[in-house]
Amino acid sequence: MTSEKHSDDHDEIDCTIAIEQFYAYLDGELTDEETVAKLEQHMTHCKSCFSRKELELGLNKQLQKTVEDQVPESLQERLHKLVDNF
Amino acid sequence: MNSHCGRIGDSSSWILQTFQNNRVKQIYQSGKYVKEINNKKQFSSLLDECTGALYQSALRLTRNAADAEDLVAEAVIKAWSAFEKLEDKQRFRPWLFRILNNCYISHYRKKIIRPVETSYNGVESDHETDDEVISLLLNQSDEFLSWWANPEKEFANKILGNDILTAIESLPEAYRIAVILVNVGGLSYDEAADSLDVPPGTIRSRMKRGRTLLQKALWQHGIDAGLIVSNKAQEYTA
Repeated sequence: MTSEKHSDDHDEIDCTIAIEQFYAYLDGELTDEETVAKLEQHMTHCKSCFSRKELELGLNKQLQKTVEDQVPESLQERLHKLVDNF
Repeated sequence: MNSHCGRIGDSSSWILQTFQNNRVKQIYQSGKYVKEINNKKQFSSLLDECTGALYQSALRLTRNAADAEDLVAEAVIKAWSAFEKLEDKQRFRPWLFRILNNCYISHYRKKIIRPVETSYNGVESDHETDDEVISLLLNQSDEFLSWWANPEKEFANKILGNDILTAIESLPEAYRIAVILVNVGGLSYDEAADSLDVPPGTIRSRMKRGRTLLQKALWQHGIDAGLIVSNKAQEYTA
């Protein structure tokens, strides 16, 4: 189990709570500053959650790079014709 | 005399008035024309920036290249007809993705009765609670973390973009749409919720589950493609 909690700091959150907020944080949807700070603090010492974040950021980067590059020529031509006729 | 002068005056006035009206009309028309040209240029430029993402999203939604192209074309036509009303042009991309999704739903939604959720054992289920999902994610990630010295970064670098797209395509409908709208289209949770007519909390939940399922699919792909040696992974997880 990767759940980690450091008992010397009662403000710390564990992996279960971190994961609960994790994707909202990555998607820029976590607005509560205190929660963001706790999550970021958690990721500074929890290897699992830090790595999880790195994985997700890496996957997102790959995804963005891929989707921008791949448009069939037939669609490009179709869209250009469409826009020309607008 | 007065009446004659008056007639000349009326005539001049009428000519001047007509000339002015025509001039105003010309200026107005030319202004409108220029505005339309500028709008079209701006639309075309904004569209070029996200055509790839738009098509790839359409392809993952429809799972068919011809349907995807039709869907994109329909969305673009609808977007152009409403482009002038879009006040914040910086929000063009999420706005266009929202239109794409609405077009998709209007054509394909009848096929969808309710979202089917896939469990991590590959068994379809719609009874998983958030706690179960989190627990599964924690355990699932243990495999990644046990196997790689510098696990996720290396794994992410080896996984090709197309593998990620294929994995997205394999997601159950509800999660697929949420991941596409948010991670590809760049919609906020509120915008995605509005587009799908569900509460923002539902999008939050779908994103969590969708991304977790995506990890699961990619993990399996990593094993199938030989990027991860499964028996070694099993040694660590045994």
